[in-house]
Amino acid sequence: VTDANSKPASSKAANSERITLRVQRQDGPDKPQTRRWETFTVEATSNMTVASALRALQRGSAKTSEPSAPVAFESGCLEERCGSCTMRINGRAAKACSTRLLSAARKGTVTLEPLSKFPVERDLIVDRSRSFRALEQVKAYKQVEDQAAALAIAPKTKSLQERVYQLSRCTSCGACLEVCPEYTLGGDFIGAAALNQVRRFNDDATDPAEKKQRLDSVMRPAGVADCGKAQNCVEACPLGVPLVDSIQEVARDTSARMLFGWLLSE
Amino acid sequence: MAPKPNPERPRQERRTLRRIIVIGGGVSGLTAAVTLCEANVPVLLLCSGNSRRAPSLLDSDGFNAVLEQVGETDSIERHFEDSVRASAFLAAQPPLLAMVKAAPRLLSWLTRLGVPFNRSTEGQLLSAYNSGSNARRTAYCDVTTGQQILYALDEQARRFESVEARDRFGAGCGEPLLVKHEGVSLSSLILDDERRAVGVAVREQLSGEVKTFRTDAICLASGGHSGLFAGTSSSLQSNGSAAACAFRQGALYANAEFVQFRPLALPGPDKARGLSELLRANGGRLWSDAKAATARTAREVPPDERRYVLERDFPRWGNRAPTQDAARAIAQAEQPVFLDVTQLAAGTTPFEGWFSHQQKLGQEDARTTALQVHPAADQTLGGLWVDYEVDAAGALLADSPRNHATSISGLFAAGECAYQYKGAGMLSGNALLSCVFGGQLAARAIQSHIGSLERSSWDLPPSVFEKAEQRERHGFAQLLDQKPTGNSETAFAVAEDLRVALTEGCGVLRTKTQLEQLLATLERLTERAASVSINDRGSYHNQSLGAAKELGDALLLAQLTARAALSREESRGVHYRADLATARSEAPRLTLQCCSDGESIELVREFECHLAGQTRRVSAAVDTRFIAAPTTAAEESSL
Repeated sequence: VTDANSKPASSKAANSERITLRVQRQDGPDKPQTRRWETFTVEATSNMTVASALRALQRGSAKTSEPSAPVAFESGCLEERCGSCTMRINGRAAKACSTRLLSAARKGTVTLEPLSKFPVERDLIVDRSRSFRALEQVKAYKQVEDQAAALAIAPKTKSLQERVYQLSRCTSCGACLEVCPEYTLGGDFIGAAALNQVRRFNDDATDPAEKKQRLDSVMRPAGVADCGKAQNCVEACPLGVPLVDSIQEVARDTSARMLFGWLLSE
Repeated sequence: MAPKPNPERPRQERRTLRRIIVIGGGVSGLTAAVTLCEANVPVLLLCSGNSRRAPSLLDSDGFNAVLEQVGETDSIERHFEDSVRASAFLAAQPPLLAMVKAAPRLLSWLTRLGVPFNRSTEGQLLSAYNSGSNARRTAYCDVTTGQQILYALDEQARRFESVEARDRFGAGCGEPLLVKHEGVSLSSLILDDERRAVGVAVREQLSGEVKTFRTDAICLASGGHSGLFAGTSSSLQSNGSAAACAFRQGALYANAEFVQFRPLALPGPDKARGLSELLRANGGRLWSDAKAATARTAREVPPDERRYVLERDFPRWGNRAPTQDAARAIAQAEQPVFLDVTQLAAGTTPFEGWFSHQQKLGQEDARTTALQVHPAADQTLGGLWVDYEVDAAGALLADSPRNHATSISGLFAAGECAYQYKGAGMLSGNALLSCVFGGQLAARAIQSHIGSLERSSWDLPPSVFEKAEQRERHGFAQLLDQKPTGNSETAFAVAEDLRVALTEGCGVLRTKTQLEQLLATLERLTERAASVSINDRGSYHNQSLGAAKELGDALLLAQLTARAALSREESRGVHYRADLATARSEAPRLTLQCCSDGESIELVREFECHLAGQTRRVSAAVDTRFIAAPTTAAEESSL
C-alpha cells in the first residue's frame, strides 16, 4: 500500500525486493503447442504494480530465465478505470494496474496467466470479442430515432438515475465471466455482464416493445435460464455492480413474459 | 428472363459500399461515426484499442452547458466569455461561440443516449460549479462523466453495427452501416498525385499485417499526445501517433506549445492519477504548510498553520481559479500543496463514487485527511490545423465542407488531435463538449465534402493502394531488420527517457535554456532511436515493433512541442515562460508548423492549401471579433 502523501522520489530504492514473475505464455492464437511457463526476475519497489513490472520487461530491465521476447499484455488507462489489463494474477482475475507486486507475491513469486474463458491471442492478451457480441445480442443501447428532435431534457427520478449509473459502470473487464462455472471457453452462455445490461436498458426504457425484444434476446438457449446461480460473479466484480440482483430481475421479467406474454402481446 | 440492367445503378456501385473512414474510437470519433450513420452514410471505424477503453473515459470534469433551469445566474454569453478567457484569446471565436450555443442541444442528445447524469430529487439535471467560471453549468456523472459518455456513444456505434446499410435508392446492401475494426494502428495516409487523401494504410496489431482501405473522406479523431509526458494524468495510449503521420504527410500543425496540466493529480507508479476539477470547484480547498521547511504530512499541520494558496492568490476565484492558474500556483509553491475535501465528505456528496474508489485503491482516505497533489500533463491543446467557414456576421456555417478540414483535402480532424476550440487554454468542462460538437460538425462537413466531389477514390487504379501497402510493409520489415549497434536498447526504454525529458524541459514552467537543452536531448534520443533493437521476432502482437514505429512519431511530436514553445516568446494561457513572464506580444497569433519533405519541421507565418475547390491562405491571425483581446499589459492584469 502506497502512501499518497509520500513524495514520488522517496518511494524509490527503499523497500526494494526481488520478485519472480511466473508467466504463462503462448506465441499466437493458432499456436497452442507453444503454451509454456517462463520466469522473469524484477526489482520491485513498494508501489510497483504488475503492470509496471510488465512494462519494465518491455524496457528490457529484467532478468529472464532464457533470452526471450517481452510478455505481450493489454493495458489502457493504468488507473483501474478501463478494464483492459484484467488477467489472472495468482489464479484470480484482477487488474494488473492496481495489483501491487509486493502484496501479491507468495514466497517471492507472482503468477500471471491470461483470462481462461477467452481464446488466447498471445501471452496475456485474449480475444474478448464474445463479450462484446453479447452486448450487441441483447441490444445494449438506447433506441434513439432522430438527432434533431427534442431540446428539453426529460426528468428522471433520482433513484432510477442512481440505479442506472450503478449498472452502467461495468467496464466489460471479464472478471465476472472468469469465475462463472457456466461460462466456458468456447461455450455459448451469455454471461452476467450482458444480463446486467438487459436490466440497465430495460430499467431505462420507455417503450414496452423494446423491453420485450430485449427479454426475448435472453429467453433463448444459453440465455438467462442457463445461469447456475453460483453467485461468484457479484463477488468478483471489482466495481461492486449488483450482478446477482440484475440476473434475478431479468429472470423474473422473462418468467412473467413467458407466462403472460401471450396475454400482453397485441 | 434476365433482369434489365439499370443504367443508373452500375454493378460496381452495388458491390462496393463507399465507406467514410473514422480513425479513433473515443468520444469525438464515435460521435462522428454515429452522426454519419444517422445520415445513412456508411462508416469504417478504425480504433487502435477497444472503443470502450479509449482515453476519453478518464475525463472527469463534466460537460458544460447553460441550462435554463439554472436561471438568470448564467447565460450563453458568460459561458462564451469564460471559454474565451481560458483560451487567452487564442481560440477562433466563431466556432467557439457555435459550440457554446450548441451545448444544451448536445447535452439533451447525450441524456437521450442514456448518459446517467446526476439528478436532483425532483428529477432535473444537476449542475455543478467548475474551475474558471463562477456559474453552475456543468452536468456530471459523479467524476466519471467521460466514461459514461464514451459508453453511451460506444453503445450507439454498436447499434449501427446491426443496422443494414442502404444505397441511395433505398435498397439494402447486405452489409452493416457501421463496420468497426479494433486493434489497428494508422501507418500512413494514402494521397493521390494531387495530394488529396484517398485512403489509409493500417497495421493490424494481432497479425502484424499491413492493410489498405480506400475512402473519399477521413475523419481523424485520434486524440492528443499528453501521454508522452512522464507522470501524465492522461493515458499512455494518448501518444498522438496518427496525428504525427498526418503532419509528416503535409498537414499543417498549430499551437504545439500548449499543453494543459491538470492541477490536481496523485503520483502513481506508471503515471499520475488525475483528480476532477469539480472537487476543488465545489468545496475542496487547497492549502500548504505555512511553516517553511518542516516537511510535515497533511495530518501534522494544524488548521491555523495552513496557507490557502488559491484563496490568497486569486481572491476573485478562490479555489475555483482557472485551470492554468491553479496548475502554475501549485508548481511554483515552495511547500507541498494539499487538496482538502474532508468537508465535502461530511454531508451527502455528489462524489460518493470517487470517495469510495479512492479508499479502495488503498490510498489515503480523502474523507479524513488532505491529499498531496501536483500538476500532471493532461491534454494537448495544439494539434492539426483545421478550417471553419462563417457568414458575414461571423455565424458558423454548420454545413460547410471547410469545417474541421485539415490542410490535406479529404482529411478532417476532430477532438483533441485538432487545435480548434482550445487556443492557449481549455475551460474545465469544455473538453468533452468540444469532442462531441467537433465530431458532429466534422461529420456534417464530410457529408458536404463527398456531395461535391469531382473524383472519387474508387476511380483510382488499384496500383495506388498496392504501392502504399508495399511501402508500409517495407518500412516495418526495415524496422525489424534494424541492426543493433553498441549498447542495444529497446524502443520502450528510449520512449521512457523521452517522457522524462519532455516533462522536465517543457513542463508547467518553461525557460529558453530548458527548451534548448530539451532540443539537444531530443537529438540524442533520435540517434538512440535509430539503433534500437526489436527484441521480439513474434508474428502476433509484436508490441516491440509497434513501439519502435510509435517512437518515431513521439520524437516528432516532442520536437514540434519544444520548437513551438521556444518560438513563442511570451507567456500566454498554459504556456508560461518563466524567463518572459511579463512580456506579451501585441496581438494573439497562432504558431504554425509544417513539414514539406516528410522529415524536417518548418515554422511558418503563412500557409497555402486547396480546400473545397478554393485556394485557402492560412495566416497566424486569430478571429477575435466578438471579444477583443486586451492590447496592453495593464488591461490584461485588470481581468
